[in-house]
Parts: sequence; C-alpha cells; structure tokens
Amino acid sequence: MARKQTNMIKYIIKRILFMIPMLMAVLIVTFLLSQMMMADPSMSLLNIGMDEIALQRELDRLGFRDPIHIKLWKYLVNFFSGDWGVSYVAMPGTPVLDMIGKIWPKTIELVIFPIIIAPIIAIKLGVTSAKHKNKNKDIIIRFAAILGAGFPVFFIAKVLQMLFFNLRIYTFEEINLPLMYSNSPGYMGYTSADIIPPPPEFSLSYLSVLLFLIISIFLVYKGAVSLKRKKLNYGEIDNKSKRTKYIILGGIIMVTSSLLLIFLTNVLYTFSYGTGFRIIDALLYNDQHHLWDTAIHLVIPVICMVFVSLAPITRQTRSSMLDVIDQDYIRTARAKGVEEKTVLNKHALRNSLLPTSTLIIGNTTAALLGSLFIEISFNYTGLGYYMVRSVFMGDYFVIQGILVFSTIIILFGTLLTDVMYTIIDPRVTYK
Amino acid sequence: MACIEVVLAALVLLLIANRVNYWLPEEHQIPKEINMKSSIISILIVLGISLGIRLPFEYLGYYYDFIVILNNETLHFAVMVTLFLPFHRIFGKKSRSNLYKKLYVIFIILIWVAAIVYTSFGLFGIEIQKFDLRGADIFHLGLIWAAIMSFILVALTSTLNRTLYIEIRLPKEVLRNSQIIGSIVAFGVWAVQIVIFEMYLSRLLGVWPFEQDIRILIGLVSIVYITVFFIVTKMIFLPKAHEKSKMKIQTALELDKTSQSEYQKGEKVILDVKNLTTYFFTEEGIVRAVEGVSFQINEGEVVGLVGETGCGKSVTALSILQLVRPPGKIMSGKVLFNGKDLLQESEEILSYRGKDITMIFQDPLNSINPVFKVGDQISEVYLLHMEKELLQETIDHPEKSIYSIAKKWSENLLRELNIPAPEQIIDRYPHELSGGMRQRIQIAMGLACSPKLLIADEPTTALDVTVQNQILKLMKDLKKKYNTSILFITHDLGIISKMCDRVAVMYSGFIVEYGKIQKLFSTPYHPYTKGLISSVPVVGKKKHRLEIISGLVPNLIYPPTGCRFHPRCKYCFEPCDSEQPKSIEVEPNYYVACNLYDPIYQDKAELSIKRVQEGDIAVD
Amino acid sequence: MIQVKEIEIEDNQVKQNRKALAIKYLKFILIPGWRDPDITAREFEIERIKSKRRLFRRFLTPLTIIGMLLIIFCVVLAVFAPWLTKIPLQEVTLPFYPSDTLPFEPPSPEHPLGTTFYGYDILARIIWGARTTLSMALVPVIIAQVGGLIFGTISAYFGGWVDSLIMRIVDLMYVFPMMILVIVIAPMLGTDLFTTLTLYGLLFIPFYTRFMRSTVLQVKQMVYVQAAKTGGAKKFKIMFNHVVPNALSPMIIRFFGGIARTLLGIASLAWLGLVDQTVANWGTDINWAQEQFTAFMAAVYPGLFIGIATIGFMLLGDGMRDALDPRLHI
Repeated sequence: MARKQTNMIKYIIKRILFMIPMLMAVLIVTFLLSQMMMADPSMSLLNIGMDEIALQRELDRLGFRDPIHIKLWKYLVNFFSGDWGVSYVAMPGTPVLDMIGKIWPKTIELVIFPIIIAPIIAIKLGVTSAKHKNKNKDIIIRFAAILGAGFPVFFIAKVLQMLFFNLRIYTFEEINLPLMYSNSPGYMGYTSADIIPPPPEFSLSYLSVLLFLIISIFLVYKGAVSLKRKKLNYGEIDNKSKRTKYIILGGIIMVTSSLLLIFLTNVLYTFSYGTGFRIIDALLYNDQHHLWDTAIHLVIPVICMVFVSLAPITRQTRSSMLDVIDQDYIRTARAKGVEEKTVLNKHALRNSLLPTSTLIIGNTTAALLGSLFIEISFNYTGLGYYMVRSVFMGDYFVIQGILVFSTIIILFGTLLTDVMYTIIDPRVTYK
Repeated sequence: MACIEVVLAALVLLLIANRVNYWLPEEHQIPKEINMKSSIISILIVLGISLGIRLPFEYLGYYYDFIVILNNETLHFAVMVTLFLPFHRIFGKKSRSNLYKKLYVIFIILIWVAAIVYTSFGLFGIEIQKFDLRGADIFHLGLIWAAIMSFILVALTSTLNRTLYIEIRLPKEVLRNSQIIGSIVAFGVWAVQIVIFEMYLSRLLGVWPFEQDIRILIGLVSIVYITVFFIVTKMIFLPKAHEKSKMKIQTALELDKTSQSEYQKGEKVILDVKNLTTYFFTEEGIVRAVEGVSFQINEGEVVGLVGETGCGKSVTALSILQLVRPPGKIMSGKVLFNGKDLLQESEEILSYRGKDITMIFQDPLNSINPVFKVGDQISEVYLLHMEKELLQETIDHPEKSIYSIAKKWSENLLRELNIPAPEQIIDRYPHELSGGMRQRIQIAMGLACSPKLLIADEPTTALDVTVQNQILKLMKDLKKKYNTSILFITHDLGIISKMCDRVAVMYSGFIVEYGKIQKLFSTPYHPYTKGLISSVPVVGKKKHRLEIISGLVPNLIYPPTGCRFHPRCKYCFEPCDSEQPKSIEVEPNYYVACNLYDPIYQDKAELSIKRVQEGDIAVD
Repeated sequence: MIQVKEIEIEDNQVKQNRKALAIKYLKFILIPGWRDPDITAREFEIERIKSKRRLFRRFLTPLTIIGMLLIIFCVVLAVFAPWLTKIPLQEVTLPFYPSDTLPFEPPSPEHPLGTTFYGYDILARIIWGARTTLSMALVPVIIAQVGGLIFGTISAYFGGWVDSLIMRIVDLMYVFPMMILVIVIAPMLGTDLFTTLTLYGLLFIPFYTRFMRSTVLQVKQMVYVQAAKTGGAKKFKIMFNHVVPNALSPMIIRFFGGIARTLLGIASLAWLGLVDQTVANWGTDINWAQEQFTAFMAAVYPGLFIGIATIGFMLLGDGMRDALDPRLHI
C-alpha cells in the first residue's frame, strides 16, 4: 500500500513536468494566432486624443514594431509575470488577469452543478438501460438521451425560455422565472457590486482564520480517510479512539474557525473581501435575496446543461455494461448466489466504470465549452460570453487570455483522468 | 402557495407515509409496493382536489375579501393532509391499528391548529405577502433555505456513510431512520423559530429582535441535525438493529434443529434430472442444445459428463442452476434436488445457488472479478449464505463484526486448500496470482458453504498438466472430507477415468450412454462411445491407421432426423434416421440410447452388427 | 468419332425455377427463421448468406429505422426544394430585401410559419436551407476523415520519429478546446464559406488521426501484413493495398456520427454568426431570431430541423456501429 502512494506522487510530478513543454507550445500557438489577429491600435489610440509623437512612443512601448522573436520573448515574460494585457473593449481598462479573476467564478458556479448532478443521473439511467436491453425502457432512455445530444444546446435553451417565460397559468400566480440577469441593462435588482465592498488589502487575521479552516478540514479528512482506508493487516487490532480524536479535534477547529470567519466578515469590518463566487459571498454576507436571485437564475441553465450532458455518459455506461454483463465473472457472481440487483450495481458497474470515468472528466472540461452557448443564450456573463464578445469586438488580449486559461484547465483535467484510472482499476499501473 | 410548495408538501407527505409504515409493528404493516402505489394515488387525488378547490376560491376571492383570507397556504396544506390518508390503503383493512389512526389524528390536529393560527392573521388584518418569486420575502426564504440545508445534510450523511469502511458503516435502515428524524427535527427547530420570530413577533407585534441570518441557519441546522442524528442512532436505532439480529439468530437456531430432523439420512439420490430440455432462440433459428437429458447423482459420488465441444454439457450444467441467459430458455423438464423441483421455484433458486449447489467454471482468469480482492470475493459467499452462523460467532466474540469473521473463515478455507501464506493472498488481486492459484480460489468459492453438489465445468482445461494433477487430487480430498457430490464436465477421457464413479456421455444434446465407468471403458455399447474409446491410442499396440469417427459434429439448428449420430454411425440401419432412440437399460443401472439394443428392432440390429463385423474383417 | 454437342435448353421452367429460387433467397435474408427444404439442402451457400442476413437484421432495429426515416425526410426536403416551395432561393437569402412582408410576422396563410428578421418566409428558408446545411456538414467530415486516414496510416506504419512527431502535434491539438479555437480563428480568416469549412475540417483531423492510428497498429500485427512483407512487397504498396482497406471499416462506421457532430458544429458556428450570412443555413436563422422574446417561433422551427437532421444521422451512425462492429455494444 505504501509503495503505491509514492509512485502516485512521482507520477503526478512527472506529468506536471511534462505539462510545461505542452504549455509552452500552447503559448506559442496562441501567440501566433494573436499576431494574426492583432490590429493596429493606432486608430483607437488616436481616437482618445493622442498626437503623433505620443502615438509613436506608445507604439514603441507596446512593442508593436519589434521583430517577431522579441515579441515572443516579451509575450512569454509578460505571461509568466502576470501581465496578460489590458482589455480594450470588453471591460475597458481592466487587466485581463483581473478580468478573468472576476469572471471565472460565474462560470464555475454555472458549471459545477451539472458536473456533479449529470453523472449520477446518467449512470443510473445507463445501468437501467443495460438491464432491460432492447425493451421499452431501454428504447425510451436511449431516445431521450439522443434528444439531448442531437438538439443543439441553444435550441433547448430557447425552448425552455419560451416555456417558462411565456407560459402563464392563470389560475395561480404567474410562474414567471425571470430571465434577465443582473448584468443585463434592464435589470433593476441586486448586483454583486452591492454586496462586496472593493478589496483593499489582505488582512492577516483573515488569512490566519482561513488557514485554521483548511487545517481543520484536513484533520477531519485524515480522520475519516483513515477510517476508510486503513484495512487492517492480519493481527492488528482496530484502534477507534485515536481516529475519532482526529475527527473531534478537526470538527472543533472547523466550527470555531468558521464562527470566527463569520464574525470577522460582517461584525468587525476589519476587512472586506469576497471570494467572487456570488453564492458563497451571499452566504458570507447574509444577503438572502441575492442568494435567491442567483439560485433561481441558475435553475434553467443548469437544467439545460444536465440534459445535454446526459447523453454521452448514458451511452458509454450502457455500452460498457453490456460488454461486462456477458463476461464470465458475472456468471460466477450469479452462480455464487448474488442477487441480480447487486450483480449489476456492484460487480458489473465497478468493471464498466473505467471508460465512463474518462468521459465524466472529459465532460468536466467540455462543460466549459457547453457553457459557452448557454451563457450567450441566457446573457450570463461568464468566460464563454466574454470570449465570444471579444471575438466579435476584436479584443485580442482577452481572447488570448481566456484561450490559455481554458487550455490550462483542460491540461489539469487530463491529469486528473489519469490519476483516477489508477484508483478505479487496480490492474492499471504507471511506471 | 405557488405550485412548487404544494408539490414539495406532497413529497414530504409521501415520505412520511412511507416511514411511518416502516415503524409500525409487523402485523400492522402493509407491503412496500402497495404502500408506495396507494401513497402516490392518494397524493394525486389530493393534489387534484386541492387545486380544484383553489379555483373557486381564487374566483370568489375577487369578490369577497373574506375568501382571500381563507385562501392561504397553511389551510390548503391542512385540507390536503386531512384528505390524504383516507384515500390511503391503510384504511382499507379493518384490522388497522389504533396506533396509526391515533398518530394520524394527532398530526391532523396539529396541522389544523397551525392553519387556524395562520388564518387568524388575516382576521387581524395582517398583511402576509404573497409569495412572489421576484421579491421573495424573508419568511418563505428562511423556510426554503432550511429545507435545502437539511436535504444537503442528508445527502452528505449518505455519502459519508458509503465511504466508510464496511465494518464501521451504519446499516441502511438505521441510517434512513436517523436521517429522517434528524432532518425533521432540524427543520422543525428552524421553522418554529422563524414562525415565532418572523411571523408573530415582527409582524404581529412589531418587535424586531434580530435579522434572520442565513449563516446562523447553516450552523444551527447542522449542529441540531448532527446531534439528533448521533443521539437517535446510539439510543434507539442501533440497539434495535442489534436486537433484530439477535432475534434472527434465535429463529435460525430453532429452524436448524427442526430442519435437521427433516433430513432423512441414507437418502441416496441427491440430484435427479428428468427430461431437461433447453433451447436457444437465436436469429438463425432454434438451437436445440439439450434434449431430454436425464441422469441422477447420488450422495458422495462423482458423476462425469463427457462429450465433444458443442454437445451441450455446459448448457446442461447452467440449466440445473438456472443460469441460462436469454435467448436461451429451459423448455421443460424436472430437476429434483432433495425431492424439490428446482425449475418450479425460480425465486428460491437464489437460496440454493452458492449454498447447496455450486458451480466452478473453466477459465479462472476471466471467472474471477478483476477489480475486487480475492479475500473479499470469498467472504462474499459467506456473507450471503451463512449469515446466521456468522452472527452466532459474534455472540461469542462481541467486538468483532461479521465481516472480520468472514475474512477469518475464508483464510482458514484457503489454508485447507494448501495455499501458502493465505493471509497475504487474501489481500491480493486476481491478476497478481497464477493460474493454478486462481483455480484454487474458485474452488474455495465453490466449497465455502460445504455444498451438497459441486458442478465443475471443465476446471482443468485451461491449466497445464502438473497443475491439473494437483487440482484433481485436491478435489478428491475435499470430496472425501465434505462428502460433496461432484458433477464433473470435461472432454478429457483420462481425467474421467481418474475421478469419476459414473459417466454420462453426451452427443449433440442427448445422453447416449450412462453408467459405471469400468463398464464404459471395458465394454462400450453405443457406437459413439465405441469410437471414442477405440480412438485413444494404446501404448504397445501398433496399428496402420488411427481409428476415427467419420463425419462432422452436426449443426444444432438443423440436426439430423432421428438419431443425431446416424450420419456418422457404422451401424446405421433402417429406423435410425427416422426415430429417436429411447434410453434402454441394457444392464442394471446402465443406460444406452441406441436402436441397436432396442428389443423391437432386434433382428435388424443383428443384421447390421454382422454387416459391420464382416466389413471390419475385410479391412483388416 | 462421337461429337458431343451442347444443347442449351432455354426452358421457361428453368427460368421460373431461378426466379423462385431468387425469391426464396430474398425471403431467407429478410425474414428470420424462415426455412425451405431447397435452401436447407444447400448448407454451404447458407453460410455465406447467413452472415449478410445477420448483418441486415441487426441493422434494422427500431431506432435505426427512425433515424433513416428522419434522414430521408431531410434529404427529400433538400432534393425536392424547388418543387416544395414557390419562393425561389434568391428571395430568401441575404442580398434580397423583400418589400411586401414585415419582419417577424406571425404565421399567416402566405407565410405558414411567419417571417424572419429580414422578412423572409421561414418555411421557404427552412426548405432551401436543407440543401446548404446538409452539404455544409458533409465537406468538413470528408476533409477530416481523409486527413486522419493519411496521417494516421503514415504515423502508425512508419513508427519512430514520424510517429512521435505526429502524435505530439495531435496531443497539442487535443489540449485546445476545439470549438473555442474555431471561434477564435474563424473571424480572422473571414466568413468565406470555403474557408470556414476547410478550417473546421482541418481542426478535426487530430481526432481521426489518433483513432486511425490505433486501428492501423492493430491491423499491422495481423498475419497477412507480415505475409505480404515476406512476399516482398514495397512499403507503400503494403500500406495502401493491404492495411488501409482493413482499417477503413471503422472509419466508415463512424462516418455518419461524424456528419452528425459536424452538422451540430457548423450550426453552432452559424448561430454565433461566424458563417457566411448570404447562405441559407438553419443556424443563421436562429441567430437572426435570437434576441426575440415574442417571435420565438422563428428560432424554434429551424432549431427543430437541425435537431431532426442531427438525430437522424446519430441514430444511423449508432445503428451502423451496432451492426458492423460486434465488439461495441452501443
């Protein structure tokens, strides 16, 4: 057991090291793309009233006229030092990294619920579909899954909008889920700017409390994990008290640190910093209306995304289950007297999870992409929305920045897939 | 109430009805499916009625103010609950308990009290804001957050329970009950708090003690839930679960005593297969895999089932245990095991499989589940079938769980099978072991519960000769020790001669010869058997050419008419291609299915035998 | 000397027999479980036909039939467009501004489904759009598959540094989110139809390359390739004559699935507005009607048709995979 752990760490380190050349290649490609896109900024600069000499100086400063290798070098240096450029049109004046920092929580909020919900539902559907192969239930499930995969996302979004926006049941109050988001011009509700004061600087007390919180979570995890993982070797006696001590200690620290956090957040006003996630911020600042507003605005986009991501996972689960059900070990399990339900859900499902897990994690990274269309449909200002708007408006720093950002996320996603492989299937080993 | 809250209330009612049914004592319970169906039907009826009542209320509400006051959520909920249970099945039976009715009446009274209090607001002229999704008011929001919080806590508890090591895990029923009580109490606490403070104090009396804080909600609901969960688990439900398992042991001990007296000692025939027929309905046509197979297995003997590949031996074995998958179907026949017909009781087959009749398969690499540890797979057999004996052991060693006892037993079993270092092998995965080891583990899985019959489907075909020998010796020793009968399926005549007492020869779905092995090898009767035995070359005896059985194995979809062997038979004579031969007892307890030995066709048979003998002499 | 003369008996009876036999073979193929003593006697021919019959029967599952019907519906729309609607193509695409209709009219007898942003009749646009959308979906798939075929075969067959290089490039392309890349590059190169389609096709080559490479690697191990090598055939000859035909079948199976995905992708691009707007694509219809809340049906109908076409191709692709690739049970 212990040997396997260190191999895993070595493998992760090796993969991360391998990611760096990949990252460099990605950067070079984006750089070339951006060179193709880059328009002469003279026009916009002249518009804001620069004269000829200042224009030349500005162009030199921007490095507009340097040869390409110097440009590449400058680009790489800027990238690693955090200067990803300044957005011209999408959020004028903000540096791109800050802009991404403001926007990506919104995309994460949109995307995290489908990532958690969709595999659970889809695996259950896939198992049912494999169990009643070619009977009514199977055909219905496959057809519904294909509906989700076949109709484009924006179509389903439009249909749901139509249903919930326009449908009025006159005997009751209007079931009128509001569509306009708080960034739309016509919206008169709360914005996140109202609840989160601008961040001055980090406060040491906040950091320390955060650290305590993290330590406590780690302790509880250690207690629970050791409860789970510690398979007793032969002859060892189970020592429950030591492990429960971990959990109790961790629990106490967690409770106190979260209470401190709440205390510090609102009452003392020693600092003011939000996480950027609207839901978490609303929870931290006790803004129930904002929380309800965010939640109710997320319902339909989440339903859209879940519906669309159900299809590939259901299909893959069904296919691997059908492969596995005809295998010999399932026959042995039945001959042992295991009932059919357990045979399917335990013996068969564990074996068929391997390709499905690839897909689930691939789904995670593809959720970024799917969220693009949904964000545009619902005017939800996340990464995808700004990406498309920047493409149309020609704001190339933003395009570069978001492209590299999503690429990094995908790289980590593939690493996660490979790590999951070893956990799920004991036969898979990496050198 | 908006539709959402009505639907949520309906779901809560469903849940409560289910759980209350579970908590009632045994004699008052109604079966689960009926409970679910009647709950759903009554919910739908009630939803319909309540929505139907709302229509006139809404309509009239435009004209009369008084009606508007009555048109509030709590009153509707009260009406719903009052109407729900009478439609429920539980009131159909006359013997329904007073306990249930009493609970129901108490619940109804509470709900109506709350409804009247709520309605009284209207009478006092207090404005209760209608629930508008755009600007929801704090009262409703607080309730919704509390409900969501308890739901999240329930989900968290379930996942946490599932990640725990199996010995420490809570049983499912205990978990469910504690979760429900915990969530109801937690939600109830917050709901009471919000009703008192938000509705009464702030709106009625104008006192604003504090602002409803969602962070305090999260903390309070979590703490209440966790404490109630642990208290209820420790105090009420775990002891109940222990009592239940103790009662199980008691009843098991009593049953054992009675069943042992039922077992008639000296009963000879364990398995009696009569006219078993299995067909496979494929796209090509009907594959007649097994036709009218009959044989018997006595206590403590090894019966062999020999035949070529594709003659239906494996299918026979699978049919005995009802492991045949569609498109295969057992058409007819009787499988009498200890007097009971297994094919008639298809639900009870699970109690026989793995316990009284077990089966081991051909390819040990693919027959063991590759993602589970070997020890876990053997323990699984114990946990499935020998739960009562495991529980008996826990009475003596109360600190151990049945899982560790099962693990100990599987380790002992491996030790008996002469596997070195069994305590390490238990924690290994199948791909880390050799072929012989895997086959031994399969045998362990088969013999764990000391079955009366072990069906071995070509267990040594995939192994090399030295390992083969070891496995066969092992099986012989175990047979003597546990007094198990074995049905040994193979196509290797050498193994048959070593292991078996009686042999059945199968050809193309029929049993053509069946009897004691010495007679079979010395004087085979059926032409097929004759061909098989004479085709084995004997050391020392020289021949010009090896004897073969000419022709090919017949297609099971379009079998030859009459006797299926007749195209390849030297002795084929007139009735062979039109009539299926019956099984004839040529010697006591020795059966042959051939027209040669049928007394009806005796003269024609003699002619045919003479013909073949002359032909043989001519060749030689 | 005895001369033996062949006499051809052109008998009506023989002809009839042959016809009856042909009908019997057809029945044997289509109807499972149907038997005839004549045919039973010819076992060796049955073995040959059986496999084809099995294939055909496996192909005709209910879902695949639905898929084929949907595709036939779209193809009929595309082929018979001039006869299905009286409005000619020029009046429904961009350079033409109709003068007698208002934008976003509700359905009326002349315009059964209403009008779009510029005043075009929606039904006519859908019918004419079938042609363009379907053909626009075809081109990138062919480019991608042919490219994948070439690169995959080269990479798998030669091995060594060629293989490593191609696989590294493929891995790099895998890391980028494809659609985002398309969205980024498309406006740079302009909205010319040809450019967009080739760009889309080129960007999906890595997917097929990887797939083709694994297939070719498997085929390479097989005995007949080694036999050809010992026979002395040259590298390219082996590659194209022996390896490719056998590795081709999985590609053909995935052809329809690829068309479905490309259809969806091109429609999404068109929805964003990055495709030539003078072409009557269903996606551009939805783009024009995107912001409307009252005339949403103008966006729903074209979307419905996109869905129908995609689902048809997906079901057909699944059916082909089920029937022809027995290892996968999708």
